[in-house]
Amino acid sequence: MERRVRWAILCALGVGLALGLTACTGFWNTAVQLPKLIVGPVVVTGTEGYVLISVADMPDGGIASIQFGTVGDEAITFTGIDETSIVSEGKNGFVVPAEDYATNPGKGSLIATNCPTGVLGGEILKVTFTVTGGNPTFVVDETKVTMADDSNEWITVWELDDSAEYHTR
Amino acid sequence: MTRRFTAAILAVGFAGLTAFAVPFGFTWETTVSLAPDGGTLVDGFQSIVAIDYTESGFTGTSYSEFHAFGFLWQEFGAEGRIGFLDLSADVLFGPSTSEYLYAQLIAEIELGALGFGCYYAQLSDAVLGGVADGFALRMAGAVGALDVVSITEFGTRIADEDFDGIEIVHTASGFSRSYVTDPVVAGQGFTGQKVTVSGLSIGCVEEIETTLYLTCGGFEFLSFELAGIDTGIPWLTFDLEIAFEVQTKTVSVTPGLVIAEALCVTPLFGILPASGGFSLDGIVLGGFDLTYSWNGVTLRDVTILAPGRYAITTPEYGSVIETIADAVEDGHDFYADYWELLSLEIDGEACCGGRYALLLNTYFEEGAGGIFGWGMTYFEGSIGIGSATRLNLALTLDPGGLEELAIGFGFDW
Repeated sequence: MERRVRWAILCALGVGLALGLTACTGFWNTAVQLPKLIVGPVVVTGTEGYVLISVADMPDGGIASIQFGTVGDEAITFTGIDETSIVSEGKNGFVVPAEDYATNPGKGSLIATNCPTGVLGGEILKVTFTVTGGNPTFVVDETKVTMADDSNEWITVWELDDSAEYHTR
Repeated sequence: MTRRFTAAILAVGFAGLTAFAVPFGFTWETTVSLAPDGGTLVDGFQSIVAIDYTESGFTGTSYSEFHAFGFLWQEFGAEGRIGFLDLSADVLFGPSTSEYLYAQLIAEIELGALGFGCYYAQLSDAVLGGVADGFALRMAGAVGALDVVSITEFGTRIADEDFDGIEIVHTASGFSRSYVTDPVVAGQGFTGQKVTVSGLSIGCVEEIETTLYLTCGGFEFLSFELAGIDTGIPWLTFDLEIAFEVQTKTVSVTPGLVIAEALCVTPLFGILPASGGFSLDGIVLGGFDLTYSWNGVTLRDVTILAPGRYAITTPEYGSVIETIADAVEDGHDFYADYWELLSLEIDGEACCGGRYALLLNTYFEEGAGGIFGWGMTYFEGSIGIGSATRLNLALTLDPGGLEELAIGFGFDW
């Protein structure tokens, strides 16, 4: 019985190795999954609202810091939101050392960092606020966003998604 | 179109199973969250209905989750055995967007010492990262003392020590559903082969495990894990992992302390590695967990002594001390700001066959303005009215006042 098991395992290993070596020749092409910054829609309950900001498929080590523009060159624009009520809360170990939504009306910037570890996928920020209009908006300009990984290296290739109803992590 | 049609047929089929359910089980949990301090009285609503039906060894399940913003998840499942073949299937829909999201089918069979499994999954284009589909073949067996696991991937990975499976997240709310089979590409043939050999033990090493992983891109990694290396020092062990990737070689050494089992105080020691090289800076007492249980009453004091490195997980994840890095990696929610937890838990019999359970957690925060640095108190209670119905209450108090109040009920049939 044990001999059969041994042969079966050896055969499986052989097939696996052959397939692997075939793979090494480059016949197969796997779709490239770019790191993603995912900005959720504005969720409103009564007069209170929030936006979740998540990441997915971050490179090895994960995202450890992110900057949404600077004061005067903000990455966030919003309408129908009381800027004095905006509070950004870090998730999965992220903290928000600096944020500004009042200097320029309708615009915001923030920095979030994660000292203990990087995040490969999951929520990193929850922005809560009071809404003032019927259809509040919260938009991120990806050209003004910068991020770095757990090794303090820039993550230069990534994509923004602000329309997906569902994502994976 | 064809995929959606197939999924719709499956959904109707599973729904039909539950409709004719005899015998079937039924669980309904509903919670309404109130935010007394906010501008809106009703802050949230959650209602979960789970139905299962068993017939001829097969169990069909239906899981429906509703929130204030809509009908979030509808999942149908089936599990059973045909001869020696174990089968399970899951189909997930997003009713609020009328979308089919995901399906998986798992077939497993055991022949003596050998186990075979086929895992198929499909992710729809309604999910960022889809369309993707494929299957994986898993074979496991033992040769003497060695355990061998071979996984051949055809566009799909399955959850194990190296991969997490798939978690489908509703972007707006963050609520998610998790599954074992993770389709990573669409319409591909062979994409990967992983072989793991474990169970080897030699004199000074408790267990040796080696993993070889090849993908369609070529060689991915080869790793050797040596767990529980005996150092000759009774209170000190090491785990060693050497991983070879295409251009890198990584050596990870994880020292561990062997602590005698304590009666009611569980200290959490860690070792501080030096910033460079393979040397140690010292031993850190990260915190301790003092627990005492008596007659259905449990008292706990959980204290963090190294905040920033360790944190207390939320009640959902057991209110235990974890390193922040581990909590993030494992997806556990934790309180980053609180350094101490005092907890009282009471469990007992209520009237008419029901049970009651009360949990009172009080957290303390460094620099908080409240008395003794009080940061937050969380209370949750459940009281059974008979064996089938229970009332639930949860509230959160912080120095700003009553932060959240949730009331609900549960019903089993």
